[in-house]
Amino acid sequence: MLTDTTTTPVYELTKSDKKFVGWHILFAVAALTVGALFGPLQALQAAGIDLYPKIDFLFIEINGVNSYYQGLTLHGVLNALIWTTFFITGFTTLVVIRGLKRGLAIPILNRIGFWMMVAGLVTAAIPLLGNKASVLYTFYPPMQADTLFYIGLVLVVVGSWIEGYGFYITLWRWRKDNPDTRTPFIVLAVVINMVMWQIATLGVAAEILGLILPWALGWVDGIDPQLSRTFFWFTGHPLVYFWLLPAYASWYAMLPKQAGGKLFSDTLARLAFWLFLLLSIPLGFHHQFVDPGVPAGWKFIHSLLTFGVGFPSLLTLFTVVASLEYAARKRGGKGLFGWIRALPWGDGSVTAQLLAGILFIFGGIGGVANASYNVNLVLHNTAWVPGHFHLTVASAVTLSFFGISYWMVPHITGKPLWKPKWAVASSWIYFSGMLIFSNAMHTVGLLGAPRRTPLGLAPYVPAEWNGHLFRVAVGGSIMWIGLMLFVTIVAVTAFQRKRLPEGEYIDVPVAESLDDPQQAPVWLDRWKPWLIATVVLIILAYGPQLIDQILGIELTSPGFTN
Amino acid sequence: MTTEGDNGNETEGEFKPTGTVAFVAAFVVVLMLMWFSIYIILLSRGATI
Repeated sequence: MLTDTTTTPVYELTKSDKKFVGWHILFAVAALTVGALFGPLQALQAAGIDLYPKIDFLFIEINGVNSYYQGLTLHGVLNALIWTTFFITGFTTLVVIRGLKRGLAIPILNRIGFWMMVAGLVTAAIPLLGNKASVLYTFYPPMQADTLFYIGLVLVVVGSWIEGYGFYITLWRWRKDNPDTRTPFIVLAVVINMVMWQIATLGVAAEILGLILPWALGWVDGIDPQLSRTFFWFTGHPLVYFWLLPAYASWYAMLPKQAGGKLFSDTLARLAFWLFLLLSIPLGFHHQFVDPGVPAGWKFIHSLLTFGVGFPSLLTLFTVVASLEYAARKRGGKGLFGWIRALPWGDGSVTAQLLAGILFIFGGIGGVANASYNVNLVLHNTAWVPGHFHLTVASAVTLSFFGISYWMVPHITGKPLWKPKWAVASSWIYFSGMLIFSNAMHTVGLLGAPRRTPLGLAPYVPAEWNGHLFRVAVGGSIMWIGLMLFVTIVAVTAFQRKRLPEGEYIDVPVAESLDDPQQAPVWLDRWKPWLIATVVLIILAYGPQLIDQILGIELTSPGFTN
Repeated sequence: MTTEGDNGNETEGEFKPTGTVAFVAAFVVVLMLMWFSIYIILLSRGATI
């Protein structure tokens, strides 16, 4: 548990490694803090309370509606792309080192990757803050941003790839030294996530390098928005899994230990992660159900494949809840559901992740509606979508990362968590705000409210939306309070002078499994069949349409800038 | 029998995740109810051919 300390860590990271992980978390939390500033501004704007003019000193250029989209872009890019990517690469670094009980094989490689990500962040931030890249985090052409924005994104992605290479080489060397030992599940999980990310980001790499940059640099006059969107969503949906899988890794392999139990099934956990690798990518057309350039048959196939990824999601639900039930019953929990009360709700790290999981239950339900080719038409491009999105990346992921931070920051700094009870409170406040916010967003979306629209300025808002939009403002503001409490706690923890007593140490929580990992089938510890199957499925699901769209490319759309 | 180190809890073999099965069943029921509620909205807005 978070409050547990030990004098004999299983494997202690070097000071240099801890510092390196710490840099990731520093940039991640900084991006979260700045990006989150715009969350309540968006939410209040929806209710007709426009605070953007009050903060115009923060911007180089700001005028009217543009400020809404600039704020929304900063919110999306910093929170959905930067906070997540920096946190995940830092967390993966820690897990790989601790899980394999050895340092990174080529530390300089990971350092280069990280600082390339930082360079990319700075490069993208210049046009973002200058209102020259207010194209939202999906940067759909023909909206056109300053070239630096795209270059910055490329650097962030390539930097994360390079960090990934460092992880692969480290794992490869470990496997050479331990040919008869199953890869520790938690390492397998985070490395599968990096591999999935590298395959998935080939889509956005093709989009930016092949279409957007030549267009943004003026080498070609126009762009093909349909092909750009297809490339984007090749990356866009698995991007959600890139965020989610580290949280799942924690739920599977760390949370049970923190709750006083064990992982219910190492074998099921491995199977779920391989299936996520296999099924996360070939399903992007379910984001393009209303795109006229994609044939209905392909949309239907991708809809079915999206339901396919529901299988490892259900495996995850079952295995994680079973692990928690095991822990709770060991703690004296009784009854069909009464055991839930026996979980250690007083531990801020555990509470954050439990609340993340509860919110994600509703996110999963909404995701099934999104994926359905028929009912998606009710909610497509409505406020439902960001409502759903906040239950995934802003709840399951972000709240889980809060929980992880509550042990990881003390672990890497050697300092006790500041105000542990406030840590519990921060998660409950954020959770309460999210319940109000997401429920209102889903409801007003079903009533037809469009997404990505400054509804506070819209003359067509019917009276029946007003109450829900007010709840959006209230919920969004409450979430921000919880988030800022989190930021304060981790910042004070990291920068306080107080240290853990001499000889005490907060270890990385890694759960044992109820079954023997060595008994897991060999095919659940082999990369080749899963990688081949993944590539084949992608070719089958995307190949014909990509060939068709590339052969029919029409670079006719000029750029639109603000 | 472990991911790390040794385990040795004698109750492990007897553990039946009955609460989990009920939890997952409840999830599926809620999922179906919510999905059909949106499907009814779809139908109420009129079918297209």
